[in-house]
Amino acid sequence: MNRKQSDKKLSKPELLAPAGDLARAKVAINYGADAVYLGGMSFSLRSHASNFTMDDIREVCAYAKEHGANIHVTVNIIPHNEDFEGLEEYLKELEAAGVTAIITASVSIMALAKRVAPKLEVHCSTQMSITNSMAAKMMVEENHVDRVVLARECSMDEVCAITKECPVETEAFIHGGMCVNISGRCTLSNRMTLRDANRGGCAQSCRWQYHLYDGETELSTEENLFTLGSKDMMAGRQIKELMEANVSSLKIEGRMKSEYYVASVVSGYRHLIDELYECDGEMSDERMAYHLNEINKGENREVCPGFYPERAGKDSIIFHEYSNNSVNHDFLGTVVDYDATTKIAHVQVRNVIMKDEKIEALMPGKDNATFAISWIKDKNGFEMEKANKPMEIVSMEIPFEVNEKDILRKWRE
Amino acid sequence: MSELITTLESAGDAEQLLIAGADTILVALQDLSSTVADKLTMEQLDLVIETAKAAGKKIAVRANMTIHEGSLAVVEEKMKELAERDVDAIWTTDPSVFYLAKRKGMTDKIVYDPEMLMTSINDASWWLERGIKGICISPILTLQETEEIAGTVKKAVVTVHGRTLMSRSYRKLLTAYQQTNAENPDTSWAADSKLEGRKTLALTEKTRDGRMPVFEDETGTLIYSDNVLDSFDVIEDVLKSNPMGLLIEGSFLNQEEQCAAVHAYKRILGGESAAEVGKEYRSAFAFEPLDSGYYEQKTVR
Repeated sequence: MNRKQSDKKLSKPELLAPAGDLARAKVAINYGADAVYLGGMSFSLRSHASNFTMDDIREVCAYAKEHGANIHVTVNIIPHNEDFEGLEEYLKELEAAGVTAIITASVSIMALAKRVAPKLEVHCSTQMSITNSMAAKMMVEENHVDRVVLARECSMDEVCAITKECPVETEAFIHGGMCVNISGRCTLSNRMTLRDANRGGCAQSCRWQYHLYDGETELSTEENLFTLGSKDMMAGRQIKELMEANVSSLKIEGRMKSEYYVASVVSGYRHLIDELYECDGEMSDERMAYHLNEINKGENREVCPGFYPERAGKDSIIFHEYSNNSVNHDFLGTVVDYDATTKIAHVQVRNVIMKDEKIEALMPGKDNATFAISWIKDKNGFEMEKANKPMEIVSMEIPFEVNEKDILRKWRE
Repeated sequence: MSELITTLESAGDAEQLLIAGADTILVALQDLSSTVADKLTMEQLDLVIETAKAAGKKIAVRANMTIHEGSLAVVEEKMKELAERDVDAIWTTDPSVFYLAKRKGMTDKIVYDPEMLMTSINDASWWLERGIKGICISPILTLQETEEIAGTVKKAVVTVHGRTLMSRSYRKLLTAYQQTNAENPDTSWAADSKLEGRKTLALTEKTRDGRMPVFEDETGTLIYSDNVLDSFDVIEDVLKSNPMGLLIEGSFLNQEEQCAAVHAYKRILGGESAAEVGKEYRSAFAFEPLDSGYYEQKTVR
């Protein structure tokens, strides 16, 4: 997937975005994802994400093709014997639907896909915990995988070294949730809730609270119980190094995230990657700060750069219960239509929109633009001080051209 | 007959474990292993090999560390050293160890043990088709699933006893917690008291009772099960599937308890009634939270 002009130091990687349903997949593509990964109704982790039917997969593949994007499908459960039923047919259907790749951690599923659906690329999932180049070579030599997704525990030096030695493309995470444990190597959920973490049932027991004992002495206190939850990853500052390392695909985690999150984060990274590529890495600190700020606007959780700069330590852990789930109220609405002559837009309300508020429009393929709301009217034409009914359609003047599905959010510096 | 395999928690335990009936001693080594067991030097390994071989028994090495790029050279050197020794098996989690073993003509010594990830006949068969010695079945499977895999692939190790590993993190979670709370006067440890390497720590979820041993070292943080798995109720069924080996995990068991477990399963392999042997064992170690793990509990999605 890497694109590189001979006169440039940096290659341009694929931006790979998550989608929990058809609408979010289209949003991801509209806002600049080169590829979208999603889960079908079976064989996929994130069983609580609203997964795709085969009809949905066909539709999203067609949509992706129209827009020059690719679709990857996660077949990433750690399968038990019973889970193989129907798998061969499923893989054939994915191939026929136009899916580019499957992502899997099962060596036998990799082999099966190569045998029954040879047009599908096979991407070795991060759950294989590939943290060295020999492991990557082994998966290529023994199972002919087309891409290796690196473990999130890799440092930047390791990403560079593995990518250099790996006979096929590598993919690295840049944003989103991180398991505090090595992917796939956690059965806390199984033990405490009988929900199988490796088949999509993770109860996120790592985010619960625990007493810590040394023998019979409690080391923790009621106010400061032990937890294991990880902050999310935000590796905007590391994108340049990943591009220099020739990593082929940069992945955003979050199939359960909202349409707004997908739009905002994908848009933020799209602009950052494009500008880094255009300036061949010679980006000013000011521009970098701007992009990091843009990416963070869609984020509602505490973040850290993962293991890239150094082995993740205390600043990567959240030491409070049910952490990291604050709600972001920045997403105000989506454009329903726009009349370029009158400059009036109809907008579907998602959070409270106030008259005189400064708004930022997120528009696929364009730079963000801001405006102040001079008036808001309800469907009967009555002026409002604020619009606060979710999904209500209101009208307002927007001084620049917007399009259907463009996103309006609170403007923040 | 299935061989009885048990872990060497301390270098000095080998003789007692062999006397108790172990056929294979599973040894942790420095720079290769991630476990609460003592990680031996090559010199210590040589002594254990000598002891085991004198008794006509086998040695396996647990090379289960997640291997990072910077460790490859050390791991390659260790593999070279193992190739020069009378080691019968190398248990590994990381595909790079297979990669190295293949290049050194040692594929037939590899036992693939991806901990909780070996959950199907198909994945087990794929690995065995590569010419390895065996695979370890995940201890989170039901009895039926375990029997299906072991009975089909023939070269399977089944964990039958002990505390099993529940989670593995590359982060030093205890140290992180300690550093975060270093300023808190209510915490019960001195700031200079290291939690890394301490074998007496345990976690209890705040709404539950079970104590889960937790251990941190250079390889990260390991959390073990609050229960001690015993298989006395199902072992006769397990044996019908002819597993290559039965593993008794010694993590967080004292030496007496581990040896008693080895001896108990040896008696069962020798034809004694599992019900009777199990009754004796459970009576002797009634203070432990013994249970049957996932054999009779199916996890859901």
